[in-house]
Amino acid sequence: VNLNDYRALFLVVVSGLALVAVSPIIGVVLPESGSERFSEFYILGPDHMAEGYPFNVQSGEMYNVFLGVENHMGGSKYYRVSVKFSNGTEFLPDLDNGVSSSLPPLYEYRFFVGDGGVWESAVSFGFEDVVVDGDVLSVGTVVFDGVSFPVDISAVWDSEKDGHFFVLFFELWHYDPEYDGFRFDDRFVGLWLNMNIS
Amino acid sequence: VNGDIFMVSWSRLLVITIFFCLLIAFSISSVYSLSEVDTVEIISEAEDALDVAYEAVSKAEQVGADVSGLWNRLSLAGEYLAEANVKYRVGSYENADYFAGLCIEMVSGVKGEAIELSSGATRQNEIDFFVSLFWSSVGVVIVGVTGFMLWIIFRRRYLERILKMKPEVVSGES
Repeated sequence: VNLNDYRALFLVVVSGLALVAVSPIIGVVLPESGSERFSEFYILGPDHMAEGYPFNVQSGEMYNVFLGVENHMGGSKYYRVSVKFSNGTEFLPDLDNGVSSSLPPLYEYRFFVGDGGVWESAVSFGFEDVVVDGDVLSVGTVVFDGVSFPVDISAVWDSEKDGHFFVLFFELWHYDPEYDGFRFDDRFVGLWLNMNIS
Repeated sequence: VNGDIFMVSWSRLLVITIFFCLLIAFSISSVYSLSEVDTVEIISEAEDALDVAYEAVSKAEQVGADVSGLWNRLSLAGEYLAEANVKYRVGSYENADYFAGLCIEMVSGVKGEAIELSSGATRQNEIDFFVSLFWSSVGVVIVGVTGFMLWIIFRRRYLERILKMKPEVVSGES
């Protein structure tokens, strides 16, 4: 090992130590490397597990589930969840094109979630004024979190699956300051329901 | 003649009654629709107030301000606004007005507080930056000077050692 090799070694060690000394400033100047940003949207059954979801429902009964949103967007977010009810064959969101359902919302939640934080709410729902006329079953009222919403939605008897099928679904929206309004987050969760009269 | 007078009185009474009935009906209708319009306006006002407050708090958070208290207020305001919209959809305009009003009340002043916290955090960030810059510079200078001195010492000792190893020329005997 000659003197030039020692010099190179010294330069490397001194440069490394200098880099350690300026690391606080480098941390301020360089932007943080971002991980994937997304919002998690989920629905859990009455036992707070991903099972036991209501399926066979009947008029006059109340059902419970849990709805949750987890924020991984890199900052606090302002969310809105719109609750909608459909007969399951039309007006569902088009996720391929990022378009929400054209149905008017019945109920809504508005909340703020910090980065990495979770919002969760217990949800109760039921149906009233359910009538059957031939092979068509109509729902007249949806009860959501104790509030009755008049609706007039019908489903024809599905002979393949043996039932009158409806879907209660929840759309996730988030506020976009650049858009100056809410944008559909391209996510929705729903409960397929086989409706029966009591 | 008495019969004619009697008929005229009854027909007048009938016209007056119909007139008042129509007047009341139109009055109620206009009051009802005015209330709905007012509700739409106050809900829209509450939405705008909440949006503006959210943007201000979000910006303050981005510069590192402690806005946890403001998030709690916004969350409550969001619940009120959602409640107002639900009440409006079921036609309970009075309750919708009430909850929209609560939302506006809850977010009033939030923007100002967020801006204040934001400017405080920005000032603190600037101070922190210059303190970091100062100590980093001091660190670099210390590392550089110490490294250079160590190198000088090392180099001298290295050369001395090399010189000691050098074979001495001894005058040969003939």
